[in-house]
Amino acid sequence: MNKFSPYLKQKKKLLKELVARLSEAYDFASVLATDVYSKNYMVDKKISSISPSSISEAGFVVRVYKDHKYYEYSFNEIKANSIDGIIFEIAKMVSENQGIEDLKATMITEEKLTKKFKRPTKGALYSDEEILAKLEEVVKIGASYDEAVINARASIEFAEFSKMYLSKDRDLEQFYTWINPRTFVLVGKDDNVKYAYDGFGTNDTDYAFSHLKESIKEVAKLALELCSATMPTPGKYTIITDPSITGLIAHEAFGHGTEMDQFVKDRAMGAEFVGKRVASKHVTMHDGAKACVSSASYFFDDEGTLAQDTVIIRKGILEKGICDAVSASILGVKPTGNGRRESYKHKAYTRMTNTFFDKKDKTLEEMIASVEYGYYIAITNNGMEDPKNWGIQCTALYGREIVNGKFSGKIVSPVVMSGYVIDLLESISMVAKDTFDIIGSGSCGKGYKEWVRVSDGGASIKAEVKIG
Amino acid sequence: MSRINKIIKSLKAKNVSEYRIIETIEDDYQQFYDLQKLETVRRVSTTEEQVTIYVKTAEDGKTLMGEASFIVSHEESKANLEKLIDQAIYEASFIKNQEYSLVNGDKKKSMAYKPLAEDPFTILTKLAKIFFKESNEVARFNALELFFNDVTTHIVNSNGVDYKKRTYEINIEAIPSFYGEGIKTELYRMFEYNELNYDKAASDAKEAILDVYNRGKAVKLEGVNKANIILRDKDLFQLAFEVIDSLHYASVYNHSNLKKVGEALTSNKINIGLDANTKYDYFDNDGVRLSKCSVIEDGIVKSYYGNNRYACYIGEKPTGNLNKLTLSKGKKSVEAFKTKPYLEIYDMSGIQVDAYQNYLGGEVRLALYFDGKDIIPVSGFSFSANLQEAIDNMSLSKEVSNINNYSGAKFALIKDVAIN
Repeated sequence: MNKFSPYLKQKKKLLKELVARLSEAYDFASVLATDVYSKNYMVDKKISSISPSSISEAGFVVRVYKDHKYYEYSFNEIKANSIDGIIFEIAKMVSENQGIEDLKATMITEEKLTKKFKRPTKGALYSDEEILAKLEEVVKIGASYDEAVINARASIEFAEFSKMYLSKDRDLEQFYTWINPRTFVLVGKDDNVKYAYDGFGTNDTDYAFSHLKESIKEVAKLALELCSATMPTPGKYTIITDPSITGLIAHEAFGHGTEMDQFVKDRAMGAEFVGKRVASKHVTMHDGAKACVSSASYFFDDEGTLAQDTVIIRKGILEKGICDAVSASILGVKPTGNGRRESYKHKAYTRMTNTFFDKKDKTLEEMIASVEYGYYIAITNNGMEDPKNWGIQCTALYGREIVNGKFSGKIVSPVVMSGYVIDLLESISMVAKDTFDIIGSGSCGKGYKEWVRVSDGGASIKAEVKIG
Repeated sequence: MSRINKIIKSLKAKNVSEYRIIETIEDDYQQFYDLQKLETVRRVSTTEEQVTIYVKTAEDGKTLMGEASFIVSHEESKANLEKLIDQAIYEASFIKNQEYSLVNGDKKKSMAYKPLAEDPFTILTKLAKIFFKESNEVARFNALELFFNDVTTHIVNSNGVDYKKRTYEINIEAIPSFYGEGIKTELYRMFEYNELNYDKAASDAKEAILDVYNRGKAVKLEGVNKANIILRDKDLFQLAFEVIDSLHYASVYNHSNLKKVGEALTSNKINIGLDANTKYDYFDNDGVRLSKCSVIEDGIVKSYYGNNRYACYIGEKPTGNLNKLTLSKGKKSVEAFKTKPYLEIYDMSGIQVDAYQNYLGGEVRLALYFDGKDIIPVSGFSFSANLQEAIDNMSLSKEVSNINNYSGAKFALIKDVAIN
């Protein structure tokens, strides 16, 4: 469609009526309406598919505030004759939860704002048939790269986000799109079966398809190389990171650690370190839907707060955290546009958006040349936060051995890095000056649930870290 | 007329002969506590259908099959529904996959859990109180999120499948937190119950508080480069799950399975199988009737497993999507594992198991270390091992565990693991 949802437009009058009636009964009332239309196209050597992707949704969530507590009701049907029923269900929920000791949460306050935002897809719009044909071309490149290739896969996810936020003081609409192309190659060689993958993001269709061809070649080449990979010997090493691993470290180290809903629960050590040094002077770290254009770049969050660019760490000093609206009201600070929901069926939490380290002044060549023995670590696999204890675990697909400032040709896989966040961040001694991508093809959970799309990245860094 | 029947009527009007509809009705109740005080209460009440249309085409004398899906998230007008169907027919016509048969239906069947004596919010409030009762001066639950999810799934296809089930699950995300002299620490716990059992919840809460107390007292593990480690049920589930992951029919079809039927997965005489989570989970999303499946017997790959589509592709019987993993138990008690120095792993950042890279490891947040004399809570270390060697040499305990998606040995001993 490449335009704001006609369905939400059609429901706007009813939703406004619902908010008006709820505002009479409760101290605060809002509704978030979402219509996310998303399709995933996938082709591999044997099969192809077109299916709605997991982020597809259409529905509504009402939030009301009463007697120091918040109540939310998620539903996906609204008609003129169903408004009374929705109001009844909310009242029933409120009455069924009386008499429980509450947090004495303060009420959200909002400034008046009416605005519409738009960021449509760039480039040519292709038909389903054309998209599949383009992916088949990509798969052919991967499958014919080497006779050891068992399977090659290319996929592309197109997502169109329409969201509307209504309250007594706010009337916001936004429409934006994102494209996630991905490649995967599986190879079998000398009794080894190995895989490699790549994912990137854009809102330009032409860039997506042209880059997919390059991506699958690189992925096939890497998968073949991984057949000779060994496991790294456990120990502490000097590492140089690729932008995805810099991003993973930023995300796990001080992204989760400065989500301020954790401050409310006394779950983050970061609360006690605002204004203090937490990293080397080379580190400046951002998070924000407005900080760049990537997969988590929206105009307002799922609580109607406008997107921002938050500097979390400036030259090694922890400056501030990121915050959703409810936590901000409890903590007495301003929200930063980071209130996000997995879907309209889920609660809003403080969540990261696009998280990254700034670039600085070294070339990657200089950085590699400075390493006596260590690894160049690349391609994010997964990570885990520990905001209270500042532990960190980051897993990368591979590492290239560096000996006396040069690649030795040896490759290790997988690389599991762990340690104490501050030790790692304080050990950062060099940051690259190269431009980097802030890649957003993955999802981030809070604990083991509440998955939202995020991006992260950053210039290559040189640091000391425990591997294995 | 029900929404499903309206959709079927529209599909027939559009001459769609092969289809599948999955209707999901969610009725969820949620409470969120910060610092043991209620912050937010939520309800979710939704109905949606996922409709899949199958289109057959002929090419070079072969019949090929395409499929495309759409989601109906609110009641659609007849005209809109027909537009969605037209679009799906158009999309499916470009997909040229190998032909397969949809699942044939048995007798129409419906099962639902026995109504509970209390309403969901009362249950969640009681569970919260049970957890908070275990708090003490130095340990409490700084965050507690409780979910009562009541889900009705109704599946209908063009081959006569018409099955319905209503199940519930209770999930509790708990953050036990410790406050000691100069030390504040926490652990992450997710409890999943498919049966309401207040006693089990109380015992889990108690254990969570004890674990975080130990983490508060934990010291950094120093001077240990190798150790025997004892893994517990949740990590064992993950380990066994990853080990059989490549034996899925889809992997076999794509030639990415690491072993074949009849080959030894391990020299260890262990059994790994799959099962449905509860008796109410009697069919999967294709309409396959679920029953137990043995994947590994005495270390040998006995059978592959997987959904209808890939089963048809490789000429096997579909086992369906089974969510529960079963692992055999051993002959020795865990006490026998503890006669020599060991590290019993209680909490990890996330166990890392990669069968393709032959890796097992991860960062440990809490373990109990027996140095031959004393048992000391320890933290801040990682372990890593060659996955194949670890499974070959792993000893399973005779004590068993039955948690939400796992049934089997509660403990496993793996010897001589590298510690970093």
